[in-house]
Amino acid sequence: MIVVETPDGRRHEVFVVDYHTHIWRGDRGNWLRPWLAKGWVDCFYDYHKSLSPKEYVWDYETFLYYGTERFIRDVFVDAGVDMAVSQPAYLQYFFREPFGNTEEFGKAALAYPERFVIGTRWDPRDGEDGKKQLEHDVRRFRVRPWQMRHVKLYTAEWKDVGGSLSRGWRLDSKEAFEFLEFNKQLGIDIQVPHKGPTVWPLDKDAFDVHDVDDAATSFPDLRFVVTHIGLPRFDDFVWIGKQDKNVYAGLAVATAFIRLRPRFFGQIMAELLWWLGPDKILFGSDYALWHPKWIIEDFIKFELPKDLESEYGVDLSLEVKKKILGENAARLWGIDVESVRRAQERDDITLKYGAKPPVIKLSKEHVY
Amino acid sequence: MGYPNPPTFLKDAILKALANVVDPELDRPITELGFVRDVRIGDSIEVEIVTSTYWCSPNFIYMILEDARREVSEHVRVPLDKVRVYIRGHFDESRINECISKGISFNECYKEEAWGDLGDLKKVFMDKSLRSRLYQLTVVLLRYGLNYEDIVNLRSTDVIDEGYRIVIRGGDRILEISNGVDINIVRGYINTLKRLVGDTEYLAVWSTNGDRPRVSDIRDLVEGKGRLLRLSFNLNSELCSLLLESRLSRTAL
Repeated sequence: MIVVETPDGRRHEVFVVDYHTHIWRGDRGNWLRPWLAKGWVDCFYDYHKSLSPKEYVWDYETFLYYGTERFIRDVFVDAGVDMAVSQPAYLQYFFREPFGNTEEFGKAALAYPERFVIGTRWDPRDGEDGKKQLEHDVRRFRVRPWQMRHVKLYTAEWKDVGGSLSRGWRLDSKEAFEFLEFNKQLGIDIQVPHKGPTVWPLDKDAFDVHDVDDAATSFPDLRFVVTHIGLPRFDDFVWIGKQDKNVYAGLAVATAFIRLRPRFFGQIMAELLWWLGPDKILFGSDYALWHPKWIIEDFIKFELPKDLESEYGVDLSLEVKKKILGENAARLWGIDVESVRRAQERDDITLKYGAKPPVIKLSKEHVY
Repeated sequence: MGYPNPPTFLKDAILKALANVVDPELDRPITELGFVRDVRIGDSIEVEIVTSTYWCSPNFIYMILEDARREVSEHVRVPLDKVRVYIRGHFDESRINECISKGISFNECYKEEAWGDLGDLKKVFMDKSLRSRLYQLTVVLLRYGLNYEDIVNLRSTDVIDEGYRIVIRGGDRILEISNGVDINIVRGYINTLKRLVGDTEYLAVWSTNGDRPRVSDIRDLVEGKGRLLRLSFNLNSELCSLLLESRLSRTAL
């Protein structure tokens, strides 16, 4: 939780859910095909370095692997995030053990189910084995109603299929639809699709989000959080988000623009508020790509430039920010905020690590 | 070829040719984006390209390399087999570079993984580029007092570029555009139109097929779709520039 103090002396408690976090395994010992694994981690590091404020840039070795301890201190203690959601991409053609480290995040979720929110993933090319694994994940981790309610769907995962390399899959394929159907049976009703490059077939647009549209239309009971607001196809995503009531905007990556490119961030927010409205936007930092502390602080203080506000006719008030920071995600994952808060007051992250709500003060100049 | 000290004008001509190559996803020339890392002139012309990440989609890279090779060959007037354009620091660089140097199509290069050529994919982005600039043009012309119908009915010959100003005959009026920003928008649209479609009878063109927009099409652009398109291109471009800067600051690609 964070506390926002406004100039009128009021204190506003803000419940924060970061819908997109990782404890990854990028360490060299985990590189199966080193040139690919390094290419992946280097790319992540460039994202981290190019948009983080200088004081938040990590050295490369720390970035490769940082583990649960550091995660707890950064995300829960320093940034004041209440609940952190995992979004693992396994990348098993590149790494020995899954890069999206379900094993470690899962242990943390079992130890602190009111802090870590776990979801795994599926891949239609895994067939029946994949379904068994998914069932196993639900049995193992569904210790609270909000656990294992979601899966990350990384459609550009490379996979050895019968000795030949397959470089991706589509969400609107027959096999993927079978998994979506299976998800319904397992109560996994939140899908978090993420587009990556090189998805098969290569003569098509790897980042095209129209398969999400097909899946969202075919499965109205499921919810789809399109992560990274569909970048680099933001324009197409927005249309899908407007048309499909069960499609949500996940802000990871977009939020990182807030410090160095605030005008772009303002335009993104104005577009999303105008087309999708304030109830379908979720805050995410993509930790450890970016530290949530500076993003949350900047977001609380962020004001839409006046020209954008009048051009779009939208506002980004404190009430809207509260929805984006946590209320929307809490509703989506079925999180009982009051019971979570009570449990958090007694857990080790409060008692041992000393987590307490950071206070962000707004000055008279801030509009809220 | 074989210049011991290649003249500056030749390198300039190559860079000018490369300035015509636009990254389809970013709608900006590869020279502005910093993708051209080296130009070498010897028995053949060699152009080294680097993109913002190791993972850029092979299909878009293929389009860029094919276009770059063709532009250099045409503008500098050297045979295609004397122009080598290659990518460095990409996960599939050996395959892409070999295919490009042999001049074979994307479909042949990736026959197990691609069903068709890149024409349809390229067209999607060219249409987006054209429409995003048509949106900017329309906003300017509305501001100068034309209505949607006037804009749809403008002929290309109604626009006269006099360098320091642009004069447009629209409806029953004659407009004079002398603001530098507005001139650049009008000129930017016309240049894009010429590059993607060629000479057209009407100024407002909806797709690279040469179709004209309906009044409702350009109204939709102005009421939100065009702004979104422009933002999307700008976001992609900005992110790629930042990533490339970070990437190049590391010692090895």
